[in-house]
Amino acid sequence: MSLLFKFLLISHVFSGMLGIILFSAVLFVLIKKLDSKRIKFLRLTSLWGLIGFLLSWITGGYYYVYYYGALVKPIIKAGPYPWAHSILMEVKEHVFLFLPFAALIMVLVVYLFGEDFENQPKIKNAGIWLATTIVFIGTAITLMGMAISGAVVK
Amino acid sequence: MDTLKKTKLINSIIIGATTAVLFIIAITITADLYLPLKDWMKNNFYHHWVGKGILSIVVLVIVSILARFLPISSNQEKTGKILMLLSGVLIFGFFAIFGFYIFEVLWK
Repeated sequence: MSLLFKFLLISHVFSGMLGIILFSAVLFVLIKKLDSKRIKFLRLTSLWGLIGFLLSWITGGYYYVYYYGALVKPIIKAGPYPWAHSILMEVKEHVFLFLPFAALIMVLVVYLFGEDFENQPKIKNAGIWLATTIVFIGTAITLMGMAISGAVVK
Repeated sequence: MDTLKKTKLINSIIIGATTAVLFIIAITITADLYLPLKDWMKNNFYHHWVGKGILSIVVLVIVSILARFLPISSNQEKTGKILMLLSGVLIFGFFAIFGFYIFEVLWK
């Protein structure tokens, strides 16, 4: 593997993990009573979480299109765990497309309604559900990525 | 920005994002069942995955603009409801795509 693809793969994993950690922080802060300091924290954290997902999308996408498909996929398909590609990678690559949209909405809601959260419990609760969904999908995708890596057996 | 404008803006973008997620679910399953669609994306966007990403962004932008100018009532209670709908669609999409590929591998 060339240095470029090593860098892209590591960046994909790290920026994706960063996104999940930051949205977990958003979730845990949203559950608490919000003051101006916490609202500022939510805004910055959700924005960096979105940036993390976008970076993971771009670096993972480039790696997937130009390296994984030609060199890794055939090894997995010919190995003892072909379902790691046929199920897990197919699910991962498509469900991953959801995350930047969900994260973008979370950022916009926090930026536009941050101050109104305590007066608008329905929006705050819906924000908690959205953050939970982002963390759930992100964690599931990470576990799939780990399983796919483990399925590369020559 | 006043509250009404903010609410209208965010509601229209949430509707756009929800539609984009539904579009991803639909095009993922349809392109696997109808290969000419997958080939069309490969031919026009280099890779079907890139095609799905670009088309879903186009759906987000177009639907958000349309929803912004549609005479839909905008209040913050509605924002909570459509935000919950987005979370529901995301979870539904996750299990729908997972279920579809399990079905493809085990029974096709």
